Amino acid sequence: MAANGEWWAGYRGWPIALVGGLLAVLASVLIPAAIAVVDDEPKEGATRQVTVFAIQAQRGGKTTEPRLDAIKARLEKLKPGYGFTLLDVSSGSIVAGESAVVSKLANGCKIKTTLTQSADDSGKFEIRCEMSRGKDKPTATRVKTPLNQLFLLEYPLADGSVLLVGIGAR
Amino acid sequence: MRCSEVIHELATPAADRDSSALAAHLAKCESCALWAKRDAQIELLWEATRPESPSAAAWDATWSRVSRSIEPAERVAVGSGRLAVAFRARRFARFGLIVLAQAAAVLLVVSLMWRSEPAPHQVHLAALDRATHLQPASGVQEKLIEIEEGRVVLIRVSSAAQQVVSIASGPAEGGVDDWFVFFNEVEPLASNSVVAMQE
Ligand SMILES: [Zn+2]
Repeated sequence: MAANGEWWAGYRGWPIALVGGLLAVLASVLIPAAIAVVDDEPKEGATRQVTVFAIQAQRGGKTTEPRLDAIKARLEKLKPGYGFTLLDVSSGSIVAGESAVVSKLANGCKIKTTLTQSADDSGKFEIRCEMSRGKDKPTATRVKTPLNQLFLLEYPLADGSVLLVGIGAR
Repeated sequence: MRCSEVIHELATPAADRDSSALAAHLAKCESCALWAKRDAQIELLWEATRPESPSAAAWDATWSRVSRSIEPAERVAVGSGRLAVAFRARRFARFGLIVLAQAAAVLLVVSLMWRSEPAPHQVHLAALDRATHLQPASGVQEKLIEIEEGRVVLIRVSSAAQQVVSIASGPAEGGVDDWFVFFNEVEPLASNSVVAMQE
């Protein structure tokens, strides 16, 4: 009788153990997946708020853009006799390896800004800026610069105007 | 203090910060004051909207709920049979339930992780088209231009050469630097804005 009882008792326990076992197998597949998901998350501080703006400078033009008031005097000193237009401003959080593309520019130009290093020990980040227009070979510039400050890139355009691109990150 | 130093200090506060000089500059420079305010708001927004990851306490609570839900089931399993004393039955049932519960708990945590994963980079980039995986320039070693703290530099790029020109020598009047003011002003003009989002 005891043997029979034990067999019956086993019968009651097995399906649960079986379902549990199957779930455990499932879990063993999912745990590494979950760990991989966690590992994919960028490390603290790797995200940078990158801001890119584009200004077109035209010889003999007028600067009527009120948003350029703060640097109007600086721009005029930089390129005397030119007028300035703010074409576009873009800002976004990106991590190292990601790019921001600004394409609403004059003369079919495109600026691709890639964060190549989000910050080193000295608090500088590295960026690669690629300017392309039509079928021309793109020109790339690599810059290592402190956070929270701007730098400018100047590109001569075919129509005699100049494209000024400002880049900064926080 | 100059704008660059103030912004740098606000972004990465140093232990030996000169708070009075910082306050003096913020009182005088509207642009930096605005930046400081916006920075604080972004912090608050991030704190308010960032997803929670399961804490140790949450895990314990989940586990205790799961283990509590096992107990009645175990009592039923034990009490229903005439052979309630059958030792192996209880052991099997308990083993099965524990494995089941553990698997369920693991699934719960995994699903929580999956749901909270995409948070900080769910950024709306309207004007910025995201393109990852940079193509290395066709074998040519690109020269790295390094810019020093506090200097504003213009890089003249032509297909033939790159010329680096310093365009701001030293701070302007009262330590307020036009280029830093402009950086602060131009940032919120972006056609896209960034908010930490949870799905
Ligand atoms: Zn300032």
